[in-house]
Formats: sequence, structure tokens, C-alpha cells
Amino acid sequence: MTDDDALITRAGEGDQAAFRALYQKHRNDVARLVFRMVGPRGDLDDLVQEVFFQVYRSLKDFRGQSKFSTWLHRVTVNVVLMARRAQKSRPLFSATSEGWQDELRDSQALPDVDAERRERIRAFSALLERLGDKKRDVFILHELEGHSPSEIAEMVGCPVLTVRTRLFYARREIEGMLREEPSLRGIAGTFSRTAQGDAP
Amino acid sequence: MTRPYDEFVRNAKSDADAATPEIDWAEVDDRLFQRIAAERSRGEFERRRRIAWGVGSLAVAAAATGIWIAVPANRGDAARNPTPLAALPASLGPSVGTVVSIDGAGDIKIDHQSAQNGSALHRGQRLEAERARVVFERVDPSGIAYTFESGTRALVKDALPTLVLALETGAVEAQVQHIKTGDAFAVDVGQARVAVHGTHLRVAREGEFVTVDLSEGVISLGTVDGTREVLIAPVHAEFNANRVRETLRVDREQSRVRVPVTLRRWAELVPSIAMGPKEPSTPLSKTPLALRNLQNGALGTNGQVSELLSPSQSDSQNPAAPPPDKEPEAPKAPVRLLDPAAEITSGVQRCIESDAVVFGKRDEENSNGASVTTSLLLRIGADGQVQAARFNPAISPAAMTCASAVIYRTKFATPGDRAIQIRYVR
Repeated sequence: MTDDDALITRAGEGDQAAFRALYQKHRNDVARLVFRMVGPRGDLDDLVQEVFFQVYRSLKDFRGQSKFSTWLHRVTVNVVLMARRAQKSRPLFSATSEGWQDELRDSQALPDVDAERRERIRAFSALLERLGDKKRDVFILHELEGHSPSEIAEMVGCPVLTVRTRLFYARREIEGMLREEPSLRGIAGTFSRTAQGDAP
Repeated sequence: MTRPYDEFVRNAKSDADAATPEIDWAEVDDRLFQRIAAERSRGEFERRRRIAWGVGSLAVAAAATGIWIAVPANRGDAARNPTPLAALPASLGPSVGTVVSIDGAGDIKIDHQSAQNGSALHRGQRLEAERARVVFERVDPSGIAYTFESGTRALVKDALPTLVLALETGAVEAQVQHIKTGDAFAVDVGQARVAVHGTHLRVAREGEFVTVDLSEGVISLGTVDGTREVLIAPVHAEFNANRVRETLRVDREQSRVRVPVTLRRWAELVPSIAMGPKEPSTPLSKTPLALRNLQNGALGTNGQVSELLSPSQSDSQNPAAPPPDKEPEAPKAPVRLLDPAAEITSGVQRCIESDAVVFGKRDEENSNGASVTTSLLLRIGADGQVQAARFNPAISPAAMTCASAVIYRTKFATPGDRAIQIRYVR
């Protein structure tokens, strides 16, 4: 039995301290996933809080059929999807991505490194902006969060094949944008040069 | 995979980590655990009420059959040591959702008990929406938000894996996320079933006449036990609840499909008492197209249908309808049955009452009575919405959380600062 298992069992039985420990252990992961899915908008705190409130309500029903982290991400994805549908708006992955840039926390980075990173983030935001919601979600969950297609299928409630298809098209679109979009071409070139320079 | 793509993903991953904004965890902690405390309090309150209800019912039944019930000699001890939960007579099915908002001056009842934000709905329970509209949400195992419009009665037939509602009268509207297999949500109307994979739909029933408006997604429609027809949005369907196959009429013209309502406003998730400006609350749903058709005499009878809508709904949501004879100059301000201050006072008193029951304060002070006096200071914006509120002196956190839901959904006619004296006496 892992530490999480013990905490989950106790929290499911109403142990407030165990729930708090679980929350503190996983809240950064949840915040990161929510941020990746919704972008820089003002209600990030509300969404994270809502996720853990739903976790509190549903924890007693968690049967351990999947990993807790997978289940937690499923709840997170559901909360985000419901918020997105409710607000009837796409996430604010704006082209300028001021919200992201302002939040850069790497104060140790050198100015030119920081500028390069800012440019990459801008490019990344622009790409996500242009992907459809469903393709963007599977891209984030697979490429950035490291979930398998079967786990993603469980989270978003669709067949594994559909997840693979969305992932395929997300990759293809991103590759196409990297090749064809003038504003992104430089970034792709930067990546290529970096990769070549790193190669032995 | 191409090298630029891999590099792009690798950098995006590390960059996004760095870009994730700092969260004020102390504030999130406070609000989260305040909500949880309120949830626990409500749960405890519900359990105590059920105990009282069960014991009361048993006593009535026993009295009717001439059976004597032995009352424990030491009633004080019994009050301090409530019946173990395992011995409770009431056995609820799984929860199918929690109230997230109530709009309107009327009452929402679950099994004849008034519901409020945070109240849970369970399998086997009956919901009645009287002159109010209520929104429920269930996040796990699938995301569903659904609303019962004013004048609706429905029974929760099943909870898992499919949430099945039996609609007796009125209307239910739902946003349902896709699930991998089976149906996430279904509405039974008479012998008919409208089953949903993932979609936004509305089902309305008046007598045996049923309308379905599907604004997105796919549903299947047919009898509860038999075959069903698959319908793809946009669709407006009408049929008789008990003769669905013979009477089903499907109209695929977009203009015939009722405009869906947004069921959830996440900014209102945690209406903290100290929070800043709030956006106006979600307007009530538009007059259903089918009901407008009914009112125009195309189907059904006029009088029955108009009873489904509250006065405010009828006024504000059917601008195309001819004005009533007696009131050519309809007021521009929203029609409310209560004065806003009175509504807030009443709501806060109910919250204090619930809090007193939950924490046993009333039991302890039962013989001598108890009172709470506080001033509620409000800042009201130009739009009439409450922007900030403060109790002086403060009331309990649970009561405050409960009260904030009432305060922030109330709208005033004029802006400015306002103080409301609230006194609760028991």
C-alpha cells in the first residue's frame, strides 16, 4: 500500500487531515494541468478549488480501479470541460500571451535565454490557440502530462481510437504550422539549430 | 516524429511549467476548507433531519396501529449522542448531483424538504421546483449539469451508470459530457425515453405532450424498453409521452430549436463574503419555443402552458408576445416577489437557523431561547448587484458561506452602500 492509498482510504472515511495531506500533495499538479488546459485566465484559483471540492465529494466512491493520479486528472478534466462549456468561450491562449510571460518565474535565466523562452511560449500559445479544443486537450494530456491514450480516453470519455486519431491530427497540424506559419518558422528553426548543436 | 516537433514539445513542456502562475494557496485553502466545512455541516444537518423524520414517521405509524414506543428516560443524553448512522431508517441511493444555484422567489424541494445550495439529490428522491429554477451538477463519473425549470416535478429513477430522471411535468435541460459507452443521462417521460451520450438538450412535458430541443450532440429517442431513433442536433422533436412511435414529429430546422441556456457560472462557485465585484447572475431561460408554439395555439392549450412560467419569466423572456391588457406599461426592473433587503434578511436567518441546528446550539439553548443580532453592510454597484458584503459582528463561517449565496444573487434597484439589521431569535 502506497502513502497515497493510505491517505485516500482515510480521507474517504472522512479524515480531514488525510484529505488535507492529499490536497497539499497534488494541488500543484492539478494547478498545472488546469493552467495548461485553460490558459491564463482569472479563475484558475476557482477551478483548482472546484476540482478539490469535487474530489472531496467523490473520494468515497474512488475504488482504486485506476491510479489515483489518473482519477484526479479525470476529475480535473471534467471540471475544466464543464467550465469551458459553461462559459462558451475558448481558452485565452492569446497570441501575445502576456499572462504567461508575466508569470515567468525563472529569475535566474539570463536575459537572452529569457527572451528566447518568452518567444517560445508565445509560439506555443499561438499554436494551441489554433488547435481545436478536443485536439488541444489530448495533446496536452499526452505530450505534456504524459498520460497514455487509454488513460486519456477514460478522462475525456471517448474511445481510445478517437484519442489516437485526435493526437495524430494534433501532431500533424502542429508540424504543419511549424513548417508553414512565417511567425513560427523562426521558432522551428531555433529548435532545429538547438537540436543540431546538442547532437554529438 | 520530426525533430522540430519533438523539440517544440520538449520546450513547451518546460516553458509551461515555468509559466504556470503562482497561486495564493492560503486563499484557496481558506475557501476550499470553508466550503468543505459547510458541506459537512449540511450533511450532518440532513442526517439529523432524517433521523427526526424517521423517528417521527415511526411514531405516527406506531400511534396509528396502537403500538407504544418507549421513550428513553434520559433524553438529554440521547440528544448529545445521536443514533448511530448504521441504525438510520433512511437509506439513500447514490448522489446524482448537488445544487449549485437556485434562481427565483419560490422553493426547491427534495422529498418535500426545502433544498439550498449544496443540497444533494439522490436516487429515489423526488424533486419539485415551485416558482424557482434550480441547477444541479455532477462531476464524477461524468460531467453533467442539469436544470429543472420552474413548475417541474421529477423523480430520480437511477443514478449509475446512467442518471435517469422521470419527468412528471415541467422541463429539464442538461449539458452532458460524452462518455465512452452507454448513456450518461436519460429522461423518461411516460413510456418514452430520451437517452443522451453527450449533448445539450432540453426536455419539456405538459400533460402527455413532450418537446425535445437538441442544440448539440446526439440523443436516442424511443420507448423505455424498445428501439430508439438516433437524432443529431439541431433537432426539435414533439411527441406524446405514451405513444412516442406513433406521434413523433421531428423538425431539423435550426430556427425551431430553442436557444440553450448556460447552466453554470464558475465565477459564482464560491461567493466569498469578502470577494470583490460579481458579475450579474445568469438570466433565466428563454421562453421555450415549443411552449411559445403551444401558447400560440399550435398545440395544446394556452392556460396550462403559461402556468409553467414564473411571472418574471413570462415578462422578460417573451418580448414578442403581445402586452397584457391590464398593464400596458410593464416595469423595466426585474419583477421580484420580495423586497431585496427582506429576501436577504430571510435568507440569512435561514442560514443561521441551519447552522444552529447543525452544531447543536439550538438544543443547548432550547429552554431559554437564543438570539443573534448583526449588521450586514452591503456595497451595491451601479447595476444593482452586490459587490461586497460584511457582517458586523461576524457570524459563524458556515452560516456566512451559506448567506453569501443568498446575498450575491440578490439585485437592488439603486446603487450605494446599505446596512441591513438582521436579528435571529429562537
